[in-house]
Order: sequence, then structure tokens, then C-alpha cells
Amino acid sequence: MVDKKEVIDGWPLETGDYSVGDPQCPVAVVTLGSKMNDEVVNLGAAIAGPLHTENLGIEKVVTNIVSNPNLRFLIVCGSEVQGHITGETVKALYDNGIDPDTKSILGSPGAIPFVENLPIEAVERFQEQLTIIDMINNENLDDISAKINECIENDPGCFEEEPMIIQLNEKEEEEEDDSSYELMETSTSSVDSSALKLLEIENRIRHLKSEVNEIGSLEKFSSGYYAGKVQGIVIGFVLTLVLILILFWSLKL
Amino acid sequence: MSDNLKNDLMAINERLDKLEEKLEESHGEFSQQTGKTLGRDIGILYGIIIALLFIIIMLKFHII
Repeated sequence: MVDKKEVIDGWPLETGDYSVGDPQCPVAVVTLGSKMNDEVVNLGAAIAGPLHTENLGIEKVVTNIVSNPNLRFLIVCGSEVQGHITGETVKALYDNGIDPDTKSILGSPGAIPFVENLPIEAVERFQEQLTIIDMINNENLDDISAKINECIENDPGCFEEEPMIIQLNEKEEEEEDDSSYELMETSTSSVDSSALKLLEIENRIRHLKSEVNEIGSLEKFSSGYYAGKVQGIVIGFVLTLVLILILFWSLKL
Repeated sequence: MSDNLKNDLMAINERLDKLEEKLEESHGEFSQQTGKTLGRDIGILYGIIIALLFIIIMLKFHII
């Protein structure tokens, strides 16, 4: 029997679209763009949920993992999220870590791979505590179940250090002083209104373009119709004459 | 906006342009084929009528 630690109260610390199973289990599962939380938890995982963003989402995953030392494996499965490439970003975080100054995930193919709310110690702990299992683009529950069972069989026991509790400072950022907030609001609203106008213009251009295309295809249709009609008249005329002449000759004979 | 994102967006836009071009070509081609088929079918009917009228006129004037 391997060693297990008591799970802290209120685990998982961060809220999210996940399901929780037995917190003593060593396997956490990230299902990327696929929604199969309950199915995966029923297969024996401690926690399972999708991961849509390569910044806030990963911060939450890391926070929930390092606060439970019993978790020793992270299975990354399900369909990759296009654009965000969260699966590859998790792997990059595990393999390369983050830049201590910019907090960007090194080698990530994602669009905005920044984990600004995570301390570097949390990333290092994430790398030490876990083993990542790459099953990206695999949604087969049988394969996932086999992998979970394999991980449970090879459970090395809980991580020796105590749970690491991280406060993601999203809320603190929201409570910044009023003046900067007003300034931001003003600039945001101007950006929003111009963006809306641009969007409207773009829609009108798109509409015009589709109208032009419609006219073009009508033109093609009518030219095809004319060419086909001439062809058809010739075919009909010749065929009818030939048939009637054959009929006449057969009657005379 | 990061360079990565910019490059990705440019690549996506290029692919979308190509797709749009192909779609327009295919749409035009399809319209022309549909028009031609319809025109030929109607043309055959016209041709039959013209041929019948021609034969009736020939018979009337005892040419055949």
C-alpha cells in the first residue's frame, strides 16, 4: 500500500468545468476540447475536465494539481483545441517550464501562452510532482481507462512535499484603483465602438461581395442555358427528321 | 499581438482566400453546367417541334 496524504479542505481550490472523483487517486485527466468529465471520473480518475485556454485554464489546472500531492500522473487526452493548442502547451509547460520574467510558456505553440498568475515555484513543483501522459487527439474511453489503470498500478505514492496553495490574483487585478479603471473603460469603449463599426463595414462588404458573386453565377447560368438550347435544338431537329424518314421508308417498303 | 498569433492569422487568411477562390470557381462552373443541361433539354423539345413543322410543310407542298 502506497503512502497517501490527507487532501486539504476545499480541494479543488479553483473553480472550473470539471468533475471530481476520489481525491486520493494519483491520476488527473485533462480532456482538452472534449467534454467527457463524468465518463473519465467514473473510470477512476481523481479529477477530469476540459482545458480550453492556454493561459487562465492552465493556471487553474496547475493550481489544482499542486494543491493535491496525491496526484502523480496527468493524462492529456481528447481533441486538441484549435488555435489555443492547449494540449501541446501543457506538454511544453512540463518539458520547458516558463520564462521567469515574461511568464510565457517556453516552446508553446498556443496563441497567448502566459501564466502570469503562477509563481515559478508552482511550475517547478508541477514538473516534479507529475508525469505527463500524452494521449492528445485520443477520445477512446477504453484507451483512457487502460491508461488510468496502468497509472494506478504504478502509483509511486504521494509527493513528499506538502500541498502548495496558490492564490490566483484575478480578483486583485479587478480591484485596482478607480482612475486606471475609468481610463481603461474609456479606451475600451472607444476600441469597442470602432471595432463594431469596422465589423459593420466588413459585413456590408461581405454582403456586396456575395451579391456580385450571385450576379456572376446567374450570368454563367444564362450563358450555359443559351449554349445548351442551341445544342438541344440541333439534336432534336436532326433526331426527329431521321426518325420520320426511317418511318417513311419502312412504310414505302 | 504576439508574432506567433500574427503569423497564424496570416496563414489562416491565405488559406481562406484560396478556399474562397476555389468555391467561387466551383459555384460558377456548377451554374454553367446546370444552365447548359436545362437549356439542352428545352432545346431538344424545340428541335422536335421545328422538325415536325418542317415535315408538315414538306408534306403540304408535296415535296416529300
